[in-house]
Amino acid sequence: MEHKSIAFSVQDLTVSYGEQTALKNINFQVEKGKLVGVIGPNGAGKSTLMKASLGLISKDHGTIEFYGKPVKQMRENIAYIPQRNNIDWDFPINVLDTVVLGTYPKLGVFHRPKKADRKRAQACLAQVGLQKFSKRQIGELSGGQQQRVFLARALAQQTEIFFFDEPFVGIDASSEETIIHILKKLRDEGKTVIVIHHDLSKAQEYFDDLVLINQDLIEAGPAASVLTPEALGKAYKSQLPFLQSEEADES
Amino acid sequence: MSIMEFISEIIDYGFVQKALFTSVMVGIICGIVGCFIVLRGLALMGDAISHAVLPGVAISFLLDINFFYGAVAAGILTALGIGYVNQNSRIKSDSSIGIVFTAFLALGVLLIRYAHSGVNLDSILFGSLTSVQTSDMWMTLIVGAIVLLVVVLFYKELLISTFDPTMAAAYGLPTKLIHYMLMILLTLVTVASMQTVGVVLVVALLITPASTAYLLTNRLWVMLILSAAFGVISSLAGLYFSFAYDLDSGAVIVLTSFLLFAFIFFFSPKQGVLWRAIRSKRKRNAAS
Ligand SMILES: Nc1ncnc2c1ncn2[C@@H]1O[C@H](COP(=O)(O)OP(=O)(O)OP(=O)(O)O)[C@@H](O)[C@H]1O
Ligand SMILES: [Mg+2]
Repeated sequence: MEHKSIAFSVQDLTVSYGEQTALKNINFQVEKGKLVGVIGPNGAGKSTLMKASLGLISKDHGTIEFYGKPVKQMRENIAYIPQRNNIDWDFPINVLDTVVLGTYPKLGVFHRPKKADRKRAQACLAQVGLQKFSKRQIGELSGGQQQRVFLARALAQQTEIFFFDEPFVGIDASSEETIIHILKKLRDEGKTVIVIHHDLSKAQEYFDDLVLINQDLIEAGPAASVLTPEALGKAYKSQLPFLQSEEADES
Repeated sequence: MSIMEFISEIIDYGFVQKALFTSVMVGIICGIVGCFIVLRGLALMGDAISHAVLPGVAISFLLDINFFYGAVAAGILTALGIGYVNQNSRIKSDSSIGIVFTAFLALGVLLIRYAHSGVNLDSILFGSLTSVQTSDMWMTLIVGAIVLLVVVLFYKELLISTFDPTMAAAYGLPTKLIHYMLMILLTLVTVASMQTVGVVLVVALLITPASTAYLLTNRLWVMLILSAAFGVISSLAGLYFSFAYDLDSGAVIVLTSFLLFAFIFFFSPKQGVLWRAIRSKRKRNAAS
């Protein structure tokens, strides 16, 4: 069998908040150069999966590896956009300088961003179509524009692996198209992109592979093989009362 | 005394020079550290730490060591204590700040009385620029140098961990460590400002110049420079009025920084309340 390099692997991951278990014994792997969607109902633990993978919250047990290494050694190679940016929108910073922040991880301590770094930030801003707004204060943008600024910042990080938590929420159709185009381009350049996504109707069109979770791992693999009625029924049953009653009828 | 006479006094008298160096440095470092305090929403924390250094001063006196060490230790203990209560219970952060620092302050008041310390409680509480000693001046200058060095060296890290702590943590910055480092700087600045503004009012010199600068710019480094400038202007006013008219230096400094704030609040070109009102009125008139 052809050997494929594994960019991201989750083994036996269990995470809980106090008494409440959010994720139970999750196992899956993501190959390098794939665009992968993580799907599941509200409260399924999708955001928790990302935060635990990045070491932002503690896990009960399990092993997370990026190219066979623990996250601690790989942080500079991972970009992450959280679901909700809990930042101060009145902060004295403009759009371009926000994108320049993306160059910080690779600069290391004591080094300042140079002209080349600012140029790169400018190019990333152009990719998301916001070059006109580079001098605006960050709070003076619409919600969708703000979302795109953070995408530009992630691009400026020039990482191997990207984590996006619901990048399409509150975004119009044309922005969504721009973003998915950028994500596919990253994938084609050999980057590994992991995206939490809500809209099941677009899942097959957007992603190579899917990971379907609801506390447990329901199914992981090529998009078509995950989007089966059985798997979806299993994941969404508690959310959709009519499925539950069907099940009750059967038994 | 006119300003010219005052300047010639500065040149002629060593003790006026000492007060000058001390107050200028205090204005700069309060302005700069204050920016981070304001942007991180830690104004209350600044207030708490400044009050909580009091028992440290008293204990230093009892142990016969320089009050600097005791004050810094008390400030850091307070910051740690507040963090501990906050993270290990559901107590909200403003309440945990209130709980911890009032206890320290109360302890400080009792200890200072008990120690019969000869520590002049008034000058610690409200500052007294006219009694700045050579050792006070050096302490302030050294603390100032440390603060400036840390901010210059770690500007990038301070910026990103203040603006977006999630990204900072995701790429591996020790955000908790940075928080406590900032608390140490805050404590050092507070102790260094004791002679100039006193512990009761130092929080004003931390948050007022920084807030004034915040109204004027959208770039952090400009905010830092403006805030330091407003801090220095306020300190110089305090210096002049305390020598020329024997007024309390701390009170004059705080009132000056407040007047600067009030002026900018109403008249600043971007955020000023007055211009904003005029602009929106024009727009409405144009529309009708
Ligand atoms: N900080 C927290 N403290 C306690 N419980 C939490 C916390 N964050 C999340 N949870 C719980 O963990 C579970 C998983 O939450 P998570 O945010 O990972 O869901 P999600 O799949 O991202 O949902 P959504 O689609 O709504 O974003 C939920 O039941 C939630 O109530
Ligand atoms: Mg989520």
